Amino acid sequence: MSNPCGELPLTGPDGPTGVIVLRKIADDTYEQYGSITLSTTGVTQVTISGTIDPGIGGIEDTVTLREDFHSRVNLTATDSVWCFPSGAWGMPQNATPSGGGSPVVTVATICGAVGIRGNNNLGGSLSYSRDEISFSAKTNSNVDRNPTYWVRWAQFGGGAATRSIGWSDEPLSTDSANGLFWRHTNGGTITAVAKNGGAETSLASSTNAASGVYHAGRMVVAGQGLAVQCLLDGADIGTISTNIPTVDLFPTMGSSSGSQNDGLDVDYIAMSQNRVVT
Amino acid sequence: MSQPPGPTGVITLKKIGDMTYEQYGAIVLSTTGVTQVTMSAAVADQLFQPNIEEQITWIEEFGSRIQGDPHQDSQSSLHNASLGAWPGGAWATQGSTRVTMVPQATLSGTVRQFLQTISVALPDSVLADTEAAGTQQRLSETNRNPTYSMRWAQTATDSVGSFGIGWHRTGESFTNLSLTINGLNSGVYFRHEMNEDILGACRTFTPFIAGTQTETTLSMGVSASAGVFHAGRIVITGGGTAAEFFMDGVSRGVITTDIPTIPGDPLTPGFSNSNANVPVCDVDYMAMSQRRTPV
Repeated sequence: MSNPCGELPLTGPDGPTGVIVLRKIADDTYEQYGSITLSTTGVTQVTISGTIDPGIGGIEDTVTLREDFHSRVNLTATDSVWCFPSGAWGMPQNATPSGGGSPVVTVATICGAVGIRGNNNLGGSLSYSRDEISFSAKTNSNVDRNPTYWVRWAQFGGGAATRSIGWSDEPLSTDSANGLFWRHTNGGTITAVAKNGGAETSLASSTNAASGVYHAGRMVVAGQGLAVQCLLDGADIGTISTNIPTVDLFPTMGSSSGSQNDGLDVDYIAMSQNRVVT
Repeated sequence: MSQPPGPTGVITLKKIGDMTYEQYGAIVLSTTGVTQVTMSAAVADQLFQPNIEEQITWIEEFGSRIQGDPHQDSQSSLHNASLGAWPGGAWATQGSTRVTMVPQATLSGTVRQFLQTISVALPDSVLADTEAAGTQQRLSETNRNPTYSMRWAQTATDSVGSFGIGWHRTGESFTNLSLTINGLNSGVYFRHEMNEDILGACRTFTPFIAGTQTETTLSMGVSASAGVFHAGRIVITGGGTAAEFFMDGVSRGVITTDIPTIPGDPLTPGFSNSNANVPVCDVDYMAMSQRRTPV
């Protein structure tokens, strides 16, 4: 029997055995088919085995990225790269500081966040980087690995800019040709977006962005890219099944506004996917 | 787990051994039809994630380099060119990390080990205790029942020499796997000649007399070949009395001899080659989980 919530394999108990199949019918909810009747009197020994540490055992099958932006590890901002515990995050050099200020600022939240701003000319973005030397985006995901993407962000400022966050093949200060991401204008409807070769499918939520209000987005890719379930603040807003990108993607977020008073604040960005195509 | 709408009850589990529990009480699920089972993801995470009070967990995915060279324009704590830093910590190499541990364009994050120059030293990468001096980090002892995980691929078809990856005696390396006075003294690891059978290996020695090493190996039944990744796992139990070797998810057997158990003689993760004139290996990840205190 496999654990539907993780990678920990469970061996059969010494006592009564059977097969339970769980069919997912909603987020975190499953229907059970079959049954296992444990003893109703006395003691049944239950044995759990598999790898000692499921967090490690899972590493063989699953790649996990988790960036909470709690603490900056290294500042090399002149090369447009900032380092955090998950690795290096960078911005195209032409969007780095111009006329003072910084396009990447720490935000004083308990859960840690970074703010992404304009540089008085171009919109800012932050993307996973290969290394700390100079920004070179590091792809780490493809829909053929059935990834799940988590993001939490808030609009910052009231300028007329488009804010985007998710996985893409280009830094999301402007729209990309390929990607799976969340997008909204100033106070606009938060929309899930799939883009493949420039063609787009979008799925509007019923939620509007507002400065300083955080939202949690989740995209769950299934069928090696056949469908993307989109959840905003825990609510399923629907599934996208067209224009799902097939190229390799990297995590990225940004704003189209060049103003240092506009952008977005990002609390976390995370991913879990199969290590290889299965 | 939240309470299901169907039959309910309370099960109390009493730990009676390593990963073994006695059950008190019972919950009888429906024997016919469908019962809806509801599970809270947050609670499930707590159930299945490692307990930090009891377990030490270390993961190096090599996803993105944090720092590999002193920065030219700003104050940098990394002033040793032979050190680089990834999310798992600082890594020391022979030669410049920018040359010897090069990130590769794989989705899961990989570093490729190169030989910078044969006159400097053989290719060797180890976890360091700081970003400054390259002292190896003491990370594990077999008396803590560690599980070691690693995934790697031989890089070139014409590589030569013996490759090793795993946990070796702190201060040493896998660059010399001969049972000689200059060879590795102790470790728990995988080894292979290029294009040949991958072996699981345990090695120890008479403390602390060089040249007294003994080693037990176990065939993984798989040959290394260029570009083919293999996932190795070593599960040590009994405080260092047995080491079960897994290759690509399949148990290949248990070694019970030559497991290093010398008190106060810890192990460090690393990977090395005894000789190389071409790229040696691509390493996807190394990871470890072990008890915080000895068994």
